[in-house]
Amino acid sequence: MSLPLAPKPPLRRFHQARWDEPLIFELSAEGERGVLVSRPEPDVVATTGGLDQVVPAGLARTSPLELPEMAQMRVLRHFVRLSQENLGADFNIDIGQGTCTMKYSPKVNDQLINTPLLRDLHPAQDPDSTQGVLQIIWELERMLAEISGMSRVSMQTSGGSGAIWANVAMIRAFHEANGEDAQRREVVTTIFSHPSNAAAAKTAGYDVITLYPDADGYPDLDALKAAIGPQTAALLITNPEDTGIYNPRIRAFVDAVHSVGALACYDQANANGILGITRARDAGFDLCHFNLHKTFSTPHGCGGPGGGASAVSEKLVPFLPYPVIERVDDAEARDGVRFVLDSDRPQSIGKIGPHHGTVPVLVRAYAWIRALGAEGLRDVAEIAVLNNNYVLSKVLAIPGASAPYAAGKRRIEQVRYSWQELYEQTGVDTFQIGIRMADFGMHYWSSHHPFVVPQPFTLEPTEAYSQAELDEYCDTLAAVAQEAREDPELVAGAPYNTPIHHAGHDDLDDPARWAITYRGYRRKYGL
Amino acid sequence: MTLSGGAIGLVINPIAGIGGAAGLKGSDGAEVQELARSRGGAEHAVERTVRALRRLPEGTVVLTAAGAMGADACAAVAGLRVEVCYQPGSPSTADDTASAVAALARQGVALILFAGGDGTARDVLRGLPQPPPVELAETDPPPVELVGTHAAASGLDRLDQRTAVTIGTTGGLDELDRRALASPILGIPCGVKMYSGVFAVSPAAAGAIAAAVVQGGEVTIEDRDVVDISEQQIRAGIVEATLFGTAPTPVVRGRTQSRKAPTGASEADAVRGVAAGLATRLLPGHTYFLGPGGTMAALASELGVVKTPLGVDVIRDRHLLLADASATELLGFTHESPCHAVVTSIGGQGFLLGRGNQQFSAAVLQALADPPLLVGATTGKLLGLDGPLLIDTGDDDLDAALAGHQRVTTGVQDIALVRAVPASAERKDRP
Repeated sequence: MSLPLAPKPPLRRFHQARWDEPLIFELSAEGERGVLVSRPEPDVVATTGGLDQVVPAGLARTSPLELPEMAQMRVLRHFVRLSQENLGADFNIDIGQGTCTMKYSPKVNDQLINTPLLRDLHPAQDPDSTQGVLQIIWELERMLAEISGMSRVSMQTSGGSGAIWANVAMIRAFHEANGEDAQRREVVTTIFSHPSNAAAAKTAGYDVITLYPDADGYPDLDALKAAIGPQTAALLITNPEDTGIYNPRIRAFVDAVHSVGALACYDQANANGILGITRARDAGFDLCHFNLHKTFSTPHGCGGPGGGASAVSEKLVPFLPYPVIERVDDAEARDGVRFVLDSDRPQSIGKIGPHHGTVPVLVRAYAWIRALGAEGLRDVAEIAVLNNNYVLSKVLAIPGASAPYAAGKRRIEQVRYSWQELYEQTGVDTFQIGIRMADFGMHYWSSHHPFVVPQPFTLEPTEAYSQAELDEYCDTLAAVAQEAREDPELVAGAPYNTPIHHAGHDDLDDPARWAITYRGYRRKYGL
Repeated sequence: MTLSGGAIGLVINPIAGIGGAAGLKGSDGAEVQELARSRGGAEHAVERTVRALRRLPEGTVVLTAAGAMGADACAAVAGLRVEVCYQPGSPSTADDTASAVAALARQGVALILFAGGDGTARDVLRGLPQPPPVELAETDPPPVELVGTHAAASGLDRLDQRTAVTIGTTGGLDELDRRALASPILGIPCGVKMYSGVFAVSPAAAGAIAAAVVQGGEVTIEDRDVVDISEQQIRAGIVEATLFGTAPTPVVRGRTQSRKAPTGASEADAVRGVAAGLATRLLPGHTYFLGPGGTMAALASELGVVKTPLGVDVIRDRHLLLADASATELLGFTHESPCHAVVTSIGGQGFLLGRGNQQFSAAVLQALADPPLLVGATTGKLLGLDGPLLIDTGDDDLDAALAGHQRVTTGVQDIALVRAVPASAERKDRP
């Protein structure tokens, strides 16, 4: 006898846990402990004296430490409950956070970084006792140099913006060394390049000239030529940009920038669609950077700490952050080579991050590249591009959705779509659609600001998702769009199945109210 | 300032948009309306308004005018509590729109929804209450003359006095106070021309914003331009945009026409950023002619001087040398020191020169030092343009000389490169 099977629902039935969990400080119970420490033995105290005899008076606290007092089990429950209120990368079809390359990060890589051999290392240990990890970082540098075509790579920064900053600092140091820093005060970028490019350049004191796209999705070469001159320090550009459109004139862009004595810097934070297919140096770029936490295994953003890799051509090697890891011949060393830290680099921009960077991220990237090999890297790019164009065809079939710019052309690894037509017809906007997607257990993101594409959403399928998963995401999008037409209030009132209904973020949008630092908060509110 | 809760006011221009389908570029004037009907044009403002009203929650109080100016549309939507507070004439006129708005404003509605186009927006502006006289402290800067001869010559003397007073007396009236004087307005797009920034992008979006107000959601308001274009000239192939004033408008991300930065608050901050960026580019000893517009007012504020709302003011080394200068007076300054014009684009069409700032005559522009123009605009404003920036000085050769890739200051250390073209080259592509 077989039991009748219920028909599969057209959309996933999902409901997230909701715990109404207080802050951990509100859970504190006086005297409760996770680990009970025994009192010191009288003989020990008699020998050493009290703590006040051991700890200098100037280092002793004057008030008790304000930590929550909780038993281990309650701590565990607290954090597991919070974890259940997340929409994490490990359990949703996470293609909705385009530009972030939310791909599968093999769990074996997590096991590698949790081995005591690595976990228990201290970054300040004598290099002679950390030869293994130095070798991994050195070999990873060689791999990234090969992938980019550049000469050397620094992995000292903890993220993409840090790596962009390192590149901008090296650009500035290069022009200073040539006596042209006072003259070259402008950096050129594009509106679709990641905003950290403009931000890093401004932080370094440059004026930023932003180019806007033509109908084909990338700026006109004449616009670039009008922007550059002897005042130009560099071009900071992404390709493909967030639209997923590849600029086929990129070599002409680089040549134009070089013709005025400026440097060309390639933002390859997201290199997932071009791995093994194009190389920054082959297109003439002088510098580039990778986000090791996007393209190379480690989850992006809140999924874990990041890692930035700044890659440079030969003429910029003297300006790399120090120390750099060098491999030297040493007959007495194991395998006849030794890895040393070279800090004697007078033209270096200095230390730009602690120690060797975020080592767990570097080890994941190393393991990921080694596991795939050169052909595997290219497979990643090709599958990511195919998946993206499959999703493109599915999304364009949804009434009300569009992909502005370069009509009819294929995209590389992601697409910035628009709901403008649907919005004009229904009044339902991209944020509301995104929140409704969460009701089906799927993450969704709109766009960086400013919104060049109206009512934007950005999908990046990567190589990690199956056709069935891509279909499920697109079918859910189509269903939500249909809901917007038939019952806009239903979509506008979402979410219904998630732990938090609506987070008020007006304060975060109002410069008169937010403060991004405690110092700023005190200044703003006169504290 | 944010809105929260209350009744909705509603005014419909029943014949708005009738000329659109008839290919008449607008619907202003009885003659044009008759011609539109003869060509098959039909009223659709009531039907579009119904689409907006359907987004309001049940039980919403709607104050409106009788018949086709509001009550008819309300009757087609179940669940509204409708109160008629104005009786228009028959047939209703533009003055009825202004009078109905005045009546609604007196009732203290939280939001005035109006259905129409730019012409209707002007009538709505006319009907909004004017602020009480501003009393300036002795230490405050002297009030500037409100509407000068140049404004009269360019048709700007029709500017609503409320706006002129409020912009021109920065020392006397707090920005939030003056915003509180008028009910916010929001347009349900029904007209042929809708270049003003006071329209929602669609009837459904207008209804969604109004619903957010009724339900007590926080909705930011900001002053948006009310501009209009002479329909007769459009029919003749000439685009003449005129700024008639500004009106407080609720702004919900993506729901108010204009693809600007995410919220009104951040947009206002962006304008301040543009002003701060422009201020860093002013050279000691050089003379700057500040054109009209809110961005230039922000620059003046950044420099610590009072700006004539719609005139051109002359500034050197952070001192106001002359307010509301004429072309002849501007020309006089060009003999004293290097001079530059500081301008922003007007409305959504991107005019840098030739609209609302005709004081920058060809003779003045030719006498300017290099670079002749300093341009400032928010990124949102640039993204809202339908095409390139436009130049129309009346001198084709000068237009061509000023055309090209224009540097536009969008913030501190921030410049956008945007193409500027002679307006004559663009007219053929415009409505």
